[in-house]
Amino acid sequence: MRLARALAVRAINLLLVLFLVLFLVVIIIGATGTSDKILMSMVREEVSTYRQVISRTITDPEALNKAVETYRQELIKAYGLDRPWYTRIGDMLMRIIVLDLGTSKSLQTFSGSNKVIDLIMERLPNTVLLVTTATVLTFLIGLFVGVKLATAIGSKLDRALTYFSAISYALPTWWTGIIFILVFYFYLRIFPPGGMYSVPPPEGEFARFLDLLWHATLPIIVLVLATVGSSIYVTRTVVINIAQEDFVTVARAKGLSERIVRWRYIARVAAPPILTQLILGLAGSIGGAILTETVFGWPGMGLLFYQAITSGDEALILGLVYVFTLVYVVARFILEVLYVILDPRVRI
Amino acid sequence: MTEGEILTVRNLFLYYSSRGSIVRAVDDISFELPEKSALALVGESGCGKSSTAIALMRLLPPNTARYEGRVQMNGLDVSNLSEEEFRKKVRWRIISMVFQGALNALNPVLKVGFQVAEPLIHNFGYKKKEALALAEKALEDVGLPRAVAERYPHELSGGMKQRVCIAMSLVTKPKIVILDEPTSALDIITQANIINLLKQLKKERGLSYIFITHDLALSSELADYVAVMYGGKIVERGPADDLYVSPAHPYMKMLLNSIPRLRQDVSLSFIPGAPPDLRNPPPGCRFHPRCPFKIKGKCDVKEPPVVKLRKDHYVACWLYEEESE
Amino acid sequence: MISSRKEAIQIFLSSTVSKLGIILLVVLLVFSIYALTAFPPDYGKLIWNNPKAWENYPKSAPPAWINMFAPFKHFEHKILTSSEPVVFKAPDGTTKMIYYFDLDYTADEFPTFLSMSVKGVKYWKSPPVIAVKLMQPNGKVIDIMSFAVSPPRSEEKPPYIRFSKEPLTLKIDSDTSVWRSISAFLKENYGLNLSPSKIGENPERFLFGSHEEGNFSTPMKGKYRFEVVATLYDDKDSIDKISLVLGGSVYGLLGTDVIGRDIAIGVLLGFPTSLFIGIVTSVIVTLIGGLLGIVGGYVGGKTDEVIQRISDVVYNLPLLPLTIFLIFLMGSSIWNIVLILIIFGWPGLTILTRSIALQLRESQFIEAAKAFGSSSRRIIFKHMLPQVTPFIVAQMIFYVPTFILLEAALSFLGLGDPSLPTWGQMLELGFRNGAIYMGLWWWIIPPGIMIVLTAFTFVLIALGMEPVVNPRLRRG
Repeated sequence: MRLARALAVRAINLLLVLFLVLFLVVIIIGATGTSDKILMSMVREEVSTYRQVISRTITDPEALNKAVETYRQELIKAYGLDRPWYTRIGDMLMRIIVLDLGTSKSLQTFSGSNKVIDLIMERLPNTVLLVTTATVLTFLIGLFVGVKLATAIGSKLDRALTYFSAISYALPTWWTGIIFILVFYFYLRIFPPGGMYSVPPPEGEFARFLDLLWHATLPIIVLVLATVGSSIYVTRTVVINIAQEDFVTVARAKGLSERIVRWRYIARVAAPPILTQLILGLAGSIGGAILTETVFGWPGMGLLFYQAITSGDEALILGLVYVFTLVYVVARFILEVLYVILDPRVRI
Repeated sequence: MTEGEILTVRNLFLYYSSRGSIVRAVDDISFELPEKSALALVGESGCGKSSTAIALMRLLPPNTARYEGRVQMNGLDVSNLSEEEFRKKVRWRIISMVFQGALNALNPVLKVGFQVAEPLIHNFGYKKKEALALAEKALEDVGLPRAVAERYPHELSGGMKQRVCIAMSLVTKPKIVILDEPTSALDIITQANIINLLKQLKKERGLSYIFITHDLALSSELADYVAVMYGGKIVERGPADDLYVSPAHPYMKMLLNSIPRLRQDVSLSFIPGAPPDLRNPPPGCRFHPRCPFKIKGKCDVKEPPVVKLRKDHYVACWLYEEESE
Repeated sequence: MISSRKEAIQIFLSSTVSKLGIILLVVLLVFSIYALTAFPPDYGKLIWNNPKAWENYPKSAPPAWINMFAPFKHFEHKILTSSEPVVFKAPDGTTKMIYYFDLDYTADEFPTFLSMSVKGVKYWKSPPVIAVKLMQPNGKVIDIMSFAVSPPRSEEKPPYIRFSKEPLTLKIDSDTSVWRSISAFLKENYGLNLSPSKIGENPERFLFGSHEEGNFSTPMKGKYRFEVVATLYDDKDSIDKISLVLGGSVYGLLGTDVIGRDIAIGVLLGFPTSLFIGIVTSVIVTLIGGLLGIVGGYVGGKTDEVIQRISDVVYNLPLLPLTIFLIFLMGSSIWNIVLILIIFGWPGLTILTRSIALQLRESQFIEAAKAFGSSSRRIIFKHMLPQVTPFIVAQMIFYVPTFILLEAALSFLGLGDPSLPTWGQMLELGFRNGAIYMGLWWWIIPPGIMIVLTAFTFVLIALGMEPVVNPRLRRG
């Protein structure tokens, strides 16, 4: 039961975050007139559809225009565009929560829809694929190398690691990506310069999968490189700290084998703080995703964001900000559940 | 080596290396622990008491510079055992330990009962269920409710944790238990309870204890034998009654003298000077810079030999050279 | 606990990591100071972002030093300036100013263009005349051109000022009179009959080409001298500056970008900007966050609750998407960026200092201070602050590279402040213009390396601070 309570508290906290972001975003776009633009474009969309439909039955141009105009006025009233923006806040909030995010003015999905929600949904899996793979890899590498190094503090390898972590932290993900493209594509021609599949994509399930792997290699390496340094360093530091704790000595004194000590007394106790680091790095992963996808032209949410910025597509930007926050909140919640399971001390 | 001794230690050394110099924490000590008795290892902070315990348990830190000596436990010469053998045959089988400050002695993410049961499961071949049952019994024996086994360490008070550690050290029925400052982190009432518990267990189970403490009063309550450490060396050892009534070594004499007497009008005395730096101990007798009886030319030059004063009572001091048999 | 500032500094300096960090920091500061003093503050807006200022430079040109490694020597883009002109009075009463421009020709290719830049002409009666001669290594002299400054306009009164705000750029190689002069020269010296329009296809060939080795297809190497003679008709007339530009395909220390801007200058200008952003943001965030943390931790109660709640929520926000969103709406001036970074940055520090403050509050010496009757203010500032400071300082140092990297990322996405040349922006322009796919490594690598180096410096220093703050990590 204590578990449930701890989880509930965290869930509430995260929902608060989500709601706050939502609220702030809605207010800001209202105050800057952006929401007007977005809603107007939605109105225009619906009006033109209406016009097409209705022009089949009404042929008289004057009557047609009158009908369309009436409809337009109705829409404006329905959307609340005839009122000042702050009266529409509740509406706007509801709209976003149910993911009715309007239409993009510049982009379309494969299937031809230009609704923001469709665009985002199309790209979301690609981003999740990239980021999850990279995060899992970083975590595993950090764990193994970090544990190894913690037993060799002060050695040359340890020093080398300190420098490596420092460099890895200082390396901007996106610049590394650019350099990789320069080296591995421009000079060595081993890897493609970007994208998710070749154009045209190869035939056959397996060939397609390999093609995907080939395209994903550089972006994943870049993402891992950017974070693995700090992952190793944090693991090492945490493990060193824990290895010097009394209970580890006691465990050895009890006659437990080194293997048990290493896993049940050191690694297991180190897991929560390391997980915390992962949680903290989650926000950074989103940023990393945006930048890496931009550099490699990987068709995920990050690239969509970049495209939205460069074309000034307000509806798309708004939708993306919300969905990003949503994804972040969900991912974070999952990790926090894991944390509460791992560390009994936080179960109030 | 000798009949009736559960533990015999001869010429034990433990040096650490720290920042370029060598710390001589345990510098050639020898002592014995008779069966079913309690030995108090007393001395000031930093005299090497805890290091002795570490040396006996072979829990050597990575910066160990020198470790040697002949140790016999329960008739078994453990000095030449390999790491693996020592771990399986000695630790928690023959000898166990209750560490100083139980606050951090328990793994925070494991249930307390499991931690007590662990050695039974891994080294004694018990099934988990049986081991846990034994653990619960051990907790009961130290005066804790069985339900504690399901708790996590952070849910227990300091005194409860200390009892858990004691239960943990007893569950495998070892012959010798080392207790490093078992009560210094506790309030007086809990202290008294723990001491009574220990006395009781000793009587019931015929355990042998090694108490490490700086508290003279405590050691006088519990100990049958006392060994006094100073500067990494044992300066005097023998039966408690003997030592407290007629101490031989100047250090012991001055220590007993400096205990404030509440009901007597005696002015406070203390031992001037400071304990020696174990990295650079004074030549000859470690105590000579503070000793009012030092013999110039002898005490500051050569280390005093260990001299037998009476039965089981030994002292390392030049003053008693002539009295050796 | 740290017993003294001295001990802290001692531990800090004992590791190689910190020493390296400090050395790098000094290097950064030196470059920044140089950049700030060598360039006027509005250089960014006026010159850097002004394509016209760079029209004389080659576009997307690699650095000049690749000539050291390439068998084929590219022509290095040169802006020739002369030493003081030789001034004398001619027998006909005019003043002659002779400018000498020397050129040591070692390249295997011809320059891409030849132009002359005249700045600041002032005359009283008749407009000055400028004549250009070229002396080749083989001793031959070509009279290239003669140019007269524009005469006074009807409303103008002396002194007549020309080319003071914007220098005059004379494209020598596209001037038909020049082609004619070259044609005449070739006929006279080599008996060649080439029409001026034929010469106009590539005049540089004939100015610098070798006649012996196959008909002007390779350059004649050696020492060239341009002689520019300005004839002034009044004693008070003056010319500020004349320079000659020979277009090359390589230039400078780090080459040029697509607009022709000297990348070395761009990189140099980036130093003070990134240091400024990183340090200023870091300091402000630390002050705000640290203070809130200490106050919350020490005072407790409702205040603490409120501070905690707010910092928790803000801390949990996903940084980049929101930052992008806000800058998109607010505009990308440097102050907006700093402001937004501060708004999102302070909670991290608050949470850290609050936990330390909580620990300290329970400590004995604080209790003693309270028992003495010290005021809360005094306790916070005199007693808690010195203990918390190492942690705060370490964290602050660690934040500097974070903010530098964030600003670079924002610039890379096109949200940087356009009036300030930053490394992130240079990379953004490169990326957008496909520099990667064209292999323009000199544009892509140096700004990135500088970002890494700067961030790396501060990370090293922060790592050096770690043993000070966490005794368990001290080696030995």
